Amino acid sequence: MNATDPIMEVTGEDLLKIYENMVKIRMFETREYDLIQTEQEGFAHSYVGEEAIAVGVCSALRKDDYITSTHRGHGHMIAKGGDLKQMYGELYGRVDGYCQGKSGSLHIADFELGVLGANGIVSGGIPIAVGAGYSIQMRKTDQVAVAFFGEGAMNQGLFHEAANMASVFHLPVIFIVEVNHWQCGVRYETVYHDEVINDVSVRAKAYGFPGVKIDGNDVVEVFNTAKKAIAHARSGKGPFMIACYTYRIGTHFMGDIDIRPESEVEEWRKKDPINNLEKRMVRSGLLSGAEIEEIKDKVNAEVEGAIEFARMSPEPEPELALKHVYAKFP
Amino acid sequence: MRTIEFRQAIREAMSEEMRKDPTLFLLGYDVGEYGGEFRVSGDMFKEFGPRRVQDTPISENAEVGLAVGAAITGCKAIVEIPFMDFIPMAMDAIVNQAAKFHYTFAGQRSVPIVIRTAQGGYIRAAEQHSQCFENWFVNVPGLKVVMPSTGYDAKGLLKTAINDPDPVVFIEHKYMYPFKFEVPEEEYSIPLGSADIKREGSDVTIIATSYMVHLTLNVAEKLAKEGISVEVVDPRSLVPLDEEKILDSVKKTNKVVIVHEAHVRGGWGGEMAAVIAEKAFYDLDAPIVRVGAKNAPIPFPKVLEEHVLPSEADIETAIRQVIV
Amino acid sequence: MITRVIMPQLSLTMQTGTVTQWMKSVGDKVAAGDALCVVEGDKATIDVESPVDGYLIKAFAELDEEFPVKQPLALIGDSPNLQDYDEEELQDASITAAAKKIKEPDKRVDLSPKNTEHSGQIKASPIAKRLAKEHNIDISLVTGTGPGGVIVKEDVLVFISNQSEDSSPEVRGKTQPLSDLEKVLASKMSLSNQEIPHFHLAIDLDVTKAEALRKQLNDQPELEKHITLTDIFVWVTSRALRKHSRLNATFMDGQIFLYEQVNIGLAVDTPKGLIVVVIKDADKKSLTELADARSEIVARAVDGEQTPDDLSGGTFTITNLGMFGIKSFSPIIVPGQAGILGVGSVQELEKRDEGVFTGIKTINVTLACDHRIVDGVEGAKFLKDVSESFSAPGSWLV
Repeated sequence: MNATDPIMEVTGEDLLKIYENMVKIRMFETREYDLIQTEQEGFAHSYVGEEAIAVGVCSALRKDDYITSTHRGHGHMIAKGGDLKQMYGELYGRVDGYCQGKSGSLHIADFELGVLGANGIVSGGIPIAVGAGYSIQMRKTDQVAVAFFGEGAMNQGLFHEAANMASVFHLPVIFIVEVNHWQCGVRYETVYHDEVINDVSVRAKAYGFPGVKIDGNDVVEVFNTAKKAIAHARSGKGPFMIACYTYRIGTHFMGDIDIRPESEVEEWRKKDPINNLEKRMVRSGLLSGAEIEEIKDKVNAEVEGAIEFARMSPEPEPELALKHVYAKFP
Repeated sequence: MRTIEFRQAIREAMSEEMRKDPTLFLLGYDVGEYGGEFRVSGDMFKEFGPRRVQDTPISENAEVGLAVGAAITGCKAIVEIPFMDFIPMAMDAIVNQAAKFHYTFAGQRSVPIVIRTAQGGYIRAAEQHSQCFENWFVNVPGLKVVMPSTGYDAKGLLKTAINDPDPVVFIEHKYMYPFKFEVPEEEYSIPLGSADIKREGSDVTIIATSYMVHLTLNVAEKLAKEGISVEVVDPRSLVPLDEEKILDSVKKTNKVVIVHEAHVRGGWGGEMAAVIAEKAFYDLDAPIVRVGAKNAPIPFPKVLEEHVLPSEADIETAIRQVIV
Repeated sequence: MITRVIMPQLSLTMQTGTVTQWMKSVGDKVAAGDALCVVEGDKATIDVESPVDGYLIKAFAELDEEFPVKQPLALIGDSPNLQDYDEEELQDASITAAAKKIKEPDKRVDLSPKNTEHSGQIKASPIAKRLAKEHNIDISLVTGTGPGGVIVKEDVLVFISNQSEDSSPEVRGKTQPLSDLEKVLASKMSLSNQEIPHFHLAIDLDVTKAEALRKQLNDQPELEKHITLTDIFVWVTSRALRKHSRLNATFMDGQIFLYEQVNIGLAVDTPKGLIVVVIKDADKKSLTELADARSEIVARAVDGEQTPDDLSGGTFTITNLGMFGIKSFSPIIVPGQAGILGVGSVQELEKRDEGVFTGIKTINVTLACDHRIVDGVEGAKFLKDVSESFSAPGSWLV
């Protein structure tokens, strides 16, 4: 056991929760891969391979902290405490889903948990997190807001506008860039300059707030870095950016064609964040083989139960389509 | 009754509401110390300070996005995008975010923001600073669209818009900012979805919006001397629309002309005409005629701008066509 | 490519110039510098030259007429054919910006409906059509004063007020719209009057014996129905029609159509108005059967519950105004039939028969006939049979 292993900075209890959450996301997405191609309609975007980021960051947040997410939002929702039944319910488009079935995967939200919505516009959620930060400041609370987005979204003008405003208004907003190497069907090297590609967090410098690059597949590093960033923001020091380098194991959407060489994907499978954590926890005596099985069984039961629940949930009445257009009319 | 400038009426609406709600704030570039590109916010900065009258970078899309994020976490926001021509920069936040949240989240939160902007020409501001896009927003369910034509209407409607739980696109007219109107000192508000008969008449109904209301009233005054009785109806809000009052007027006069400053093709006049054709067809004694800017960008010099934008002569021609 | 040749302003005070000679004609090829025409101003005369090579395609200035300065007096183009130029380009070249300065109200868009292939259709505004329909006006009779002759609301209103004016110019009153029933009746009577050439034959029937027998029958307690005079008329008439089939017919497409059945229509006064109910196969029913049928069908009609079957299929009609004291009248034939019998009130008279005065009862009946089908002799024979039948009432007990 390495005495300086940063894993020792994290309590055993926290680690177990972190491990379980990562397994939960993995199982949720793996089952979803089958369901979306058989029983469900629409599109889902897999978070497999990136679990360490959502779990690492959200484990350092409070329930009343806000997050915004993207189209690849299942992981963030689960990491923030999302209920699997209501999540599958939403993906099946049923009334017991988070949004009564109206939004499906792309706009899943739970305001009680501070999840201000997954978003179908890649950078759409970023200014919303900034706005939440503005509101925090107005109301003088010590909440923080986190914007999760990909390196692809970081190239949209909206990111620039939002990051600049967060910085000049000194807002408690943490920008988590999930550099998963693929912008849909385009390699990230194609859309970033060589000078920047290996550490996109340098962009934070342009706005005057700190940015760091970390290994997005090491959940302990993510967790510890997130804690620092959150403390920074919570104490009124303004925004922080963490560029988490990871890899999108699945295709852009579940069932999409895969133009990547198998060898590349294989390389990254070897760096699986869950395996990574598992090994380290076992090495440190924080987890036994039996406990691993126990956790996996427990999560599996929860996932399957949630799927059953969703399957049994009724379809919405057609009239629901015309409700909620306005909160009040006229 | 006192008369005040159009811009002051708007400023008063914002100030009165901001005094009542400490979490309501105004943002946009130049709204702070500068007092607003059209001097609408004026000295609100002095009263409310830099956080509540917040100058921003030129980042329209993120400004509206920020307003959405703030509004769904407890702080209502007013965004000022001074020229409506800049609104395309903010379309994602308005159309894909603000308009959709209450619906797609099945009512978990609504988005109580007001996007204030100034449309229109007649000031030689040229192609990229004179446009009118209200119909774009009429076409997005989830948004409300308001277009006041007087200071009295502007103040009353803006107070309602600020307190409305839904996103409202509040369209002012830059040429009208210095116009003076009678506005009471006492507090009042005007509900959305309530049209106003600006002039009663019996021979023809003119449905006019924003600055066009004033041109139309001038024409009505002129035609009255010939014994032609023109009724001028100002919808005041396009969504929600006071169909009942408008259709009642059509049933009374049996003739309709719709006047707006936006280009005729694809303009709100088409939407209004279709509503009338569907619901009051058997009350029509003549085809419905629309008056709007010709289908060309708004050019710079007066002689050319006047040729493109609607004039009193155009309105008069249209009225004479239908009352034959 | 079009080049303008401008009428020169040869001095500050010159407002117009006059072309006194054209050296070139429209269609001529010209070279730059060629003299096109001679222009006389208020102080000088010059040759106006072509500014470019090309063809003279338009000459606006007329010989010896004043033409405004600074306006194009001719156009030079690179092709001699006018079709080679864009319409807009030609127009633009033909007038200078200054001349276009005055903002006229836009060229009036003609809103009048164009003549389309549907030339038979009346062009009227939606509200004009609606008003015409509501007031039962044939819109084709209204004169349109809208654009292109469109009938507008005002036109219909004028028509309506003219209608009421024509009938009684100085007399005040109010319009009463017709009920649906009345509309149908008005339409039918109108049609009958227009199309059927009527003639009328009248006869007094001696109904003394008939009335006596009828009273006797009605006094019988076993007979649970009340036989009316109408029932007798139906019996008598239906049998007579069997014999005189031309009175049980109609004139159709230039031919006489003889009906197989004898279905007698009876005019009934109901709270909603006049209705004609039809007793089917009247000739095959006995007197009591007729009484039954009549009482049922009339009851339905009075209650407003008549069925379509009750009202259709009539081949001959009887109408009785006797209960109102009407002595005689000339009825109008129902369209689709050949005759109608109008029955008057019972008259009590004294007849002198070989010096003895006896009281007799008579009824005047008037038969209207369609002269295309029935002539006077046929009609008279029919009435004679009816008359004899009344005088020999025993036969109707069959």
